[in-house]
Amino acid sequence: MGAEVSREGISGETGLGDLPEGCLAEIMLRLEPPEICRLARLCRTFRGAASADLVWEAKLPGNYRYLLGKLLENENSRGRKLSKKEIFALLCRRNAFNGSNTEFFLEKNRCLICISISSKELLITGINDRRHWNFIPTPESR
Amino acid sequence: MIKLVSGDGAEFEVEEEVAFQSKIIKDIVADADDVIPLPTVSSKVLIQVIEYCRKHAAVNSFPLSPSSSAAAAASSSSSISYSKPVSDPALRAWDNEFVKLNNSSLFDIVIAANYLDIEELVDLVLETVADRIKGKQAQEIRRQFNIENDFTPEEEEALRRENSWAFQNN
Repeated sequence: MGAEVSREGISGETGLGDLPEGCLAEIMLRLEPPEICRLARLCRTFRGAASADLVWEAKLPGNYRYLLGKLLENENSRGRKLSKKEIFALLCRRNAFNGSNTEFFLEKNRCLICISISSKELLITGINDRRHWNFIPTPESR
Repeated sequence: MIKLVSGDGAEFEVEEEVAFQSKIIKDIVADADDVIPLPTVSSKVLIQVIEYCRKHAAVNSFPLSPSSSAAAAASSSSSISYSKPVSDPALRAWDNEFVKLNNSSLFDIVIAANYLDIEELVDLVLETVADRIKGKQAQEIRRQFNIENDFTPEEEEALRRENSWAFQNN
């Protein structure tokens, strides 16, 4: 892989694929998850670097184990150990918790946890009094 | 003085504080010679690496240059952000100029810097490479970095499915 080999290569120029694996991982750490996934689809070298647990662990929220536990309560826990990338992908789905009207998901660019709460879950004084409040369905509503 | 010998046989005499920007060289000098052969580094790359080390050694021994406050405003909009920030704005501006190189030259430098264990230089170059990847489509990255698609159509399809979650809206 070193510089020597690539300089003697066909193109005569050092390419991104000539970088040591650690450097490729360092580049991935500086990118957002969708960009990492885009790189994974470029060539075999990147596919390897872009699936490293080391890279994805840094993208997961600090409490990902807790969140994963919440998720797997609902699904049958799988036998196979999930890679960190698979865990990240799972957390990016809209995951229901505390009943079906509240969801959490991982915002995949900035890696932040978002919570979406149904208006029906909110405690609002007089919510059932039609004189004050009305539920207006909108197409954007989930 | 320490003598560095590039892979193509060129010799470079540099001051200790310049050479010691490389942790590897520091370790080697501690228990051996003052002549250090670097067989995998070409003289072209070594000249650039020494230039970087010379600048950083000078600034590190006088951490706040008088012009640094004046340069602060100029470089505050710099696109480069360090994992370990280089605090001197004048030095950051100098670094930004230093990395204005084509991709292949940057890769040669980062391979050498990685081998010589010059952490700041590795960070600087990788940050620059990452910035050149950000926001680009796959075809553009392939072209810019000369990356050949070595997947079979079946593998491509599998990868598309595996990564589709990353391109959907929540």
